[in-house]
Amino acid sequence: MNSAEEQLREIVAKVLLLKESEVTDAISRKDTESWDSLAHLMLVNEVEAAFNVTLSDDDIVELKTVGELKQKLRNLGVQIH
Amino acid sequence: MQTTSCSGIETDIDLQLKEILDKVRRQPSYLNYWNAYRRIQRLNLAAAKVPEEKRVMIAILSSFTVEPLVMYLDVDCRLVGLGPQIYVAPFNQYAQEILDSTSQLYRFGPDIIIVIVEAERLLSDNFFQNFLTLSDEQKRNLQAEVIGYLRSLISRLAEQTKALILVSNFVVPWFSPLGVLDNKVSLGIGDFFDGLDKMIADLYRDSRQVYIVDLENLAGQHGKSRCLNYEMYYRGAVLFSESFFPVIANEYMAYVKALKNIVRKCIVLDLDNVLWGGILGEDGFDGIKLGADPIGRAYVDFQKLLLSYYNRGIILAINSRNNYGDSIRAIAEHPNMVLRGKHFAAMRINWNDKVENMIALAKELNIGLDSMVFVDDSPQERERMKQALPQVLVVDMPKSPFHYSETLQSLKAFDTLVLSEEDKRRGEMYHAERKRRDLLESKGSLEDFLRSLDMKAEIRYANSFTIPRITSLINRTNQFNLAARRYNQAEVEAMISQSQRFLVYGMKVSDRFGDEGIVGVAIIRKEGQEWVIDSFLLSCRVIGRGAETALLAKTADDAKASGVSALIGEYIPTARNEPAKSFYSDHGFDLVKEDMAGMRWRLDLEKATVKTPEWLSVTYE
Repeated sequence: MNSAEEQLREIVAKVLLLKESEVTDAISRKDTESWDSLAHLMLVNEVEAAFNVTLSDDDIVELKTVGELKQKLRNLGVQIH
Repeated sequence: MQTTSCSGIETDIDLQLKEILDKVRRQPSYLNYWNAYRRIQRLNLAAAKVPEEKRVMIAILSSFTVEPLVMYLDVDCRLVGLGPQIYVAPFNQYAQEILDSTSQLYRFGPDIIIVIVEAERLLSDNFFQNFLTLSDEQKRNLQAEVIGYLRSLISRLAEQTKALILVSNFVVPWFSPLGVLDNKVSLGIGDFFDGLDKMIADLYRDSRQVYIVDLENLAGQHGKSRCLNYEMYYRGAVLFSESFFPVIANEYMAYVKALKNIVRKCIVLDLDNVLWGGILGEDGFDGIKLGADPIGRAYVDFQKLLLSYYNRGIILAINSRNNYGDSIRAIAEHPNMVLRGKHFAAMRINWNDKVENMIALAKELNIGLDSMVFVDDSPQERERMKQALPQVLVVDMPKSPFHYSETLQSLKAFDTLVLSEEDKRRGEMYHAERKRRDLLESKGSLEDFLRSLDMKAEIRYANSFTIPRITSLINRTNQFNLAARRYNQAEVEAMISQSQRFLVYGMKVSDRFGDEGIVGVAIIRKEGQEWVIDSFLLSCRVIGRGAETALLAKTADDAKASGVSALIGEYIPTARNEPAKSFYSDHGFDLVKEDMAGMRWRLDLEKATVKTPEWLSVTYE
């Protein structure tokens, strides 16, 4: 039941103070007030721990939407839709 | 899940807060703390109702990013019912904040100041790489420099505020370039930092304002290699890992709870599968597991831990469904019992409901349910206790007795900021109290009982020997406490040094069953022709035997001798001090004012007096 997708949705929802149903690929740093620099670091940290991966510093800086985060995780071999 | 705002803003905030806290209580993960903290920050907290005694102002002065610590402290405070405000000095500006007496730090008015600075910040940038090139003398000079600097900052803090100052010591690095030879040189890296920690502890050993938080010990317990998350460190200057922050916060919370008087005094224990393995009623005296096998050894160790708590002044009691006679015999005669009958202040061994037993124990011991901890192996009993008596701290005991001791050791529910000889002997005193109750039952009337006790009271002005105990009483006495004003040791010392304005009395009580030590405190504030009883309190152990009257009589006599015309008493109601409500009217005071803040009483010393009961022999200074 606890697919990578669900796990990511829970992390994003909790870090950005959203409801899980509100989490979409389009959620972006620009339009989400709660996605500040501390939240960004928190998001990266939690995702790295949950999927046992390390994002590169360039990836971290570039990262601007949930969709991009998913893509980067896919690139690192995480099975996520 | 969702709350609407139609039922008034205040309750709405409280409800939302409760919902947020319930989630993090159920699952205390880093992510859930983050979520809880951020959501709480978005609430309109000014609308939440927080009584004055539950407010706590915490300032953090640090050399690195402490946001995660703020998040843990804030949520942990709320989980124990406090309303915290936390101020963090701007990044790496702790020294400026301390030195500038008009800084934001002092304007914030903290109750607690946390100082947490890395040794690396106080040493030069190239300390580690050059350590091996330094002479012993140079190393010692560096130690003196670090300690001197820290000391000057702390002295400044202590001068400027009355806040409790918590200074963390230094984590001894686990790495040394000398490797196995580190302790073969006269002053290795390990020695260097051990030395710093020893010096800083010695410097404040006798201080009642500055406490050294043993970060080195905490790091060791957690595992030094797990204390740092390099990703978080290099990306965000966060010095500690997400697994270490809750450990540190838990330690700071021990001080916060001690300061705010959220202290547990009594451990209430089940018997079967708590003090020994197995069921006494089924396995029998010879069948219970205690001492001989692996399981039995774990129970003996758990009892040893409980005995060490007893020796520190924590009261032990029993609440068990069992056959009374068999249980008493096992406790008294089993060769491997560590705890014996004399260690228990009260017992409820019967087939009654444990919740009812708990209420009866609280009543018998005269302590609040919120001072009690309940230890039981049955998840059903624990759940029932949690539901019925949420004030009681119910320990989530692990399934295996191998981990009982560890669970209780991690609880951090018993900390106080001072520990007097009286505190340490508390278990013994409660045992004497059990004997007194037996005597009372054998005597026909209360007065016969009181006369047969041979009570003695000794009333003296506070001095440097009695201040720690007096401070402890001021902060721990809840029930018989007329004004419930709390003062720390520095404040009590300040009052004693101004004898033209204040008088601080301590009263010792003893009887044929033993010496209770100092159990009563009165503080007089001189206001011209009237003396105001600023504080008047008595340990619950001796209430109702006339000692309180003796102490009041002494203050009235002193007032009269000084030519003062009236003694003013104040009763300020709290959640717990109902038992003291009628004290002044019982002693002939007239009510002069009553409002939301409390009652004000007056005794006209030209017309009335307070008489010491004749069964008490009192000596004065």
